[in-house]
Amino acid sequence: MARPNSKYFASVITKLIAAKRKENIVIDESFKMQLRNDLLDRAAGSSSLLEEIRPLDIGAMFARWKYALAVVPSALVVLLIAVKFVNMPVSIPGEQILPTGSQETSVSEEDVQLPVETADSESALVPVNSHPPMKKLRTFPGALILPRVVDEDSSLETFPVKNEELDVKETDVENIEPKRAMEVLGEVNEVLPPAPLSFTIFGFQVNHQDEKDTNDTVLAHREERIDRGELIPDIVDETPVAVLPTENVVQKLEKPIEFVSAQPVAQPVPQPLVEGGVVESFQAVQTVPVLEPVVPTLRFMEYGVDLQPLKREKLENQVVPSLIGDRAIENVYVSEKEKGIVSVEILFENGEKVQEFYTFNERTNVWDTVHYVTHQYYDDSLSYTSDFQYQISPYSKSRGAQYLPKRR
Amino acid sequence: MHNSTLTFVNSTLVSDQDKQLVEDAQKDPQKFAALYDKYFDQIYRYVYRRVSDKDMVHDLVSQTFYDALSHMDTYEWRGYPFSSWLYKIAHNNVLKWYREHNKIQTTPLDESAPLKDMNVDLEKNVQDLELKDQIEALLVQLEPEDREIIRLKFFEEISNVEIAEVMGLSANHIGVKVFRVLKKVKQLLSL
Repeated sequence: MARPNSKYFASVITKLIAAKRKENIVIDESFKMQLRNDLLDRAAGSSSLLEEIRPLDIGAMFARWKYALAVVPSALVVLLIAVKFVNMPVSIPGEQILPTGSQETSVSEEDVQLPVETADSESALVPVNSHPPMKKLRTFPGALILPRVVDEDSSLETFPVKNEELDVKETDVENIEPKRAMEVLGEVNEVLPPAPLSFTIFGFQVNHQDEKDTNDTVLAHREERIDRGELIPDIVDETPVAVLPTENVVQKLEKPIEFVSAQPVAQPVPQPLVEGGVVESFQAVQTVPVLEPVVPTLRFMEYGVDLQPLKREKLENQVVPSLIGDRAIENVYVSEKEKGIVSVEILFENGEKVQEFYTFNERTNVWDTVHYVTHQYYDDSLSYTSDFQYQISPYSKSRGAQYLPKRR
Repeated sequence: MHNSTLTFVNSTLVSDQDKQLVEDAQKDPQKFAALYDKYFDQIYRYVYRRVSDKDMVHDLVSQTFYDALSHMDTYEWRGYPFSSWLYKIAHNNVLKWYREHNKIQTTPLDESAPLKDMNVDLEKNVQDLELKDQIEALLVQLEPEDREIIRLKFFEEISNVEIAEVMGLSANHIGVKVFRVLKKVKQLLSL
């Protein structure tokens, strides 16, 4: 590396030195003497010139000590807090605290949130007196549940869910809210007569009415007790049982059960050997026919919609039995209400009719109940509007046995 | 090549003289005048080269010597000339003044020469200008730190050790920076 005074930089250094020598900086001698005197005066203890720039000295002192000045109050605050913390009173009881009968025990009465069973499959912990959580409900045009065309050939009459002469309920906006199934059920229960009296004496259950009664009242209250866990539901054997054909069933165009007999199978029979070794004939032996009973299906089922075998099986084994109970039925008609929702219409022998709607739950492989509920609310224009929605209730054996009143 | 070399004063001799003066000034502030008389011109020119305003030059020079006098008791002799300490005080005061006044450091003009428009076209060939103007135009193109090194090295004619003391760098670092600045100046001068 070339040194600054080497020949490599000689030209540069020469120019720089030449430029320096061409400078003509004139020293102000008067200023020089004045400043000298001021400095001497300063040194002696007083100076008129230096007092003008004394604030700069103070500024320099502040610049030097400002951090120290900031630390002092901070340290005082920390010290104060530490002293207060150390001097905090701490009382340690000398005697062990034991519960005594004389002392009153306070029980906290906090609000208990009971699980409120809603129409939806999910139950949420909701305070008893609070409004139910609003959930999104699937809506559909009201025209879908308008009266449908009655098939004249069919003996089944259908009735609309919605009646055009709907009683308008003039209630406050705040009170209008979707009602849950249990609330609806509660209203239904109010119509029913009171529950049968039942009590227990010395371990014996005494009932006012026989538990095996199959009237509406007993059935409804019986299922309530099942839900509350007071009563163990009877195990219903739902395995199909071969029913001997009866005359009534024949009249209803029921298909009799057929016992198919197998074809007789010819079996060789050992023949006695004839001298000469000639086998004369071969005789067929009649065997006992093997009966292969055909698995019977519900004779009164009529399908207006194509369903998969699994769905059909679930419908026949779970849904229909839960609707008919022990009543004698005449016909069951299954049709499609809308996409994904089927309508099950049951006609009983006593003339009663029941129509329910179900949708198949692919996840649980059961038919969930679909309830069509009418909502009335005020829209933005403060006009009374009816909105037809439906709620899906999951399948439940206990609830499936409920009998809901006929809807108009 | 005498003209092309710099002649530095025997730093050892100067240092011994300064040491005695400093000791006397520390004992008796009235004897600070000896140091003042010895280094006032250097400090004045140094500040004058960096600040264009004459009045401001007086203020900064006054401030420099005042600070030196007021802090004489804190000065510690470390073998360097007393001028290094004064240059350092002057250097800091000039930087402080530039920060407070948000000024751009410019090359000071010679008092005898008429004021030149500093908005000179830097792309213009510096060979066409006079030497002094060439140097001025050249220094403007350097970084402030490099410019300071050039001034201290070739205009104040102080050693690398003193320059290191003034700028707060090591002497070796100053030597490297001097080499690089000269190389850059050589390129700018197209020599």
